[in-house]
Amino acid sequence: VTADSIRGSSDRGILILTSLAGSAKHGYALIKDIEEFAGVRLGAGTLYGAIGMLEEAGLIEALPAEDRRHPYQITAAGRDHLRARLSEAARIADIGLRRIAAAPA
Amino acid sequence: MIGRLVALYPRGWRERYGAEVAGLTRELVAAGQVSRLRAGLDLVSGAAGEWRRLAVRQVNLAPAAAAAVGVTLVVRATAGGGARRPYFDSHPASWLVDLAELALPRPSVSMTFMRRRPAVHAGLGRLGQPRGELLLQRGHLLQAGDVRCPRDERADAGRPAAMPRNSRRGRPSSPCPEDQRIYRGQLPLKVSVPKQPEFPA
Repeated sequence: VTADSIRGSSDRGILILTSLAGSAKHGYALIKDIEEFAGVRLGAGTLYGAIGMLEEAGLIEALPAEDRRHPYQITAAGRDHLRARLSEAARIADIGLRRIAAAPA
Repeated sequence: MIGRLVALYPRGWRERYGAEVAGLTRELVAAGQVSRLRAGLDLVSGAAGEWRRLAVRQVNLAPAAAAAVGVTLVVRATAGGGARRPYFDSHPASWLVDLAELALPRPSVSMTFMRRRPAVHAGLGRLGQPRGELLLQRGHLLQAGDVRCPRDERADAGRPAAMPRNSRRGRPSSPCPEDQRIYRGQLPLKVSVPKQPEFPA
């Protein structure tokens, strides 16, 4: 349900946080991972726009650069935020699916 | 081309992420993950988004700045001004010093102008309370805050503490020997104050 709820979503921040919840990644690895689990291919400008907002909000943080690229990792606040948002999405998705199932064909 | 497009971003963002986003874009294009056109459009779109965010942030700060100016004007209007720093009364832009003081933690140091020449104002104390203050210009101490003579104390009993008056003309109205001066501010000063400070014309 969660994967479906965020598939194609414009909320790039949630996609990035979900990707980083597994492990720290740099930009290219993030794009590949998000494409793999959500079917959404982010551009570099789009990705770093969202990274900037997440970092400013303290939800992710940059690690020391490797080969001129900063890997990013999720923070404790980022995990809490992601947990809350995904729980909410799952709850709404569950309600929606139950109503669809109960509705007459 | 990528470098030119990255240059479209606001400077702060560009300095932080510019090299990374340019490198990633080149990497994606080289790997055939994205066309040059799409990568370019993505960068232009991202730059527009960052400028929009920057504009929104500045608009959000505008009410705070307006409130600070309002508070400054109210404080200045209700406090009378003269009790705190009469030597600033001579300049129409003295409210700028008030504004700077609101923004700066105490003790404060700020630039001001005395007779159209730059001067340094240093203060220690709380807003609206008697303060120890110094005004320095061209390496000379022009005034020290909360300085009183004994006869001022008697004559102005009940009035707020004031600096040597008539400072508009740069002359204390009631000069008294240095050893009789009372420093009421929070700075236990013992300084050499010219009896008749000479202000530049």
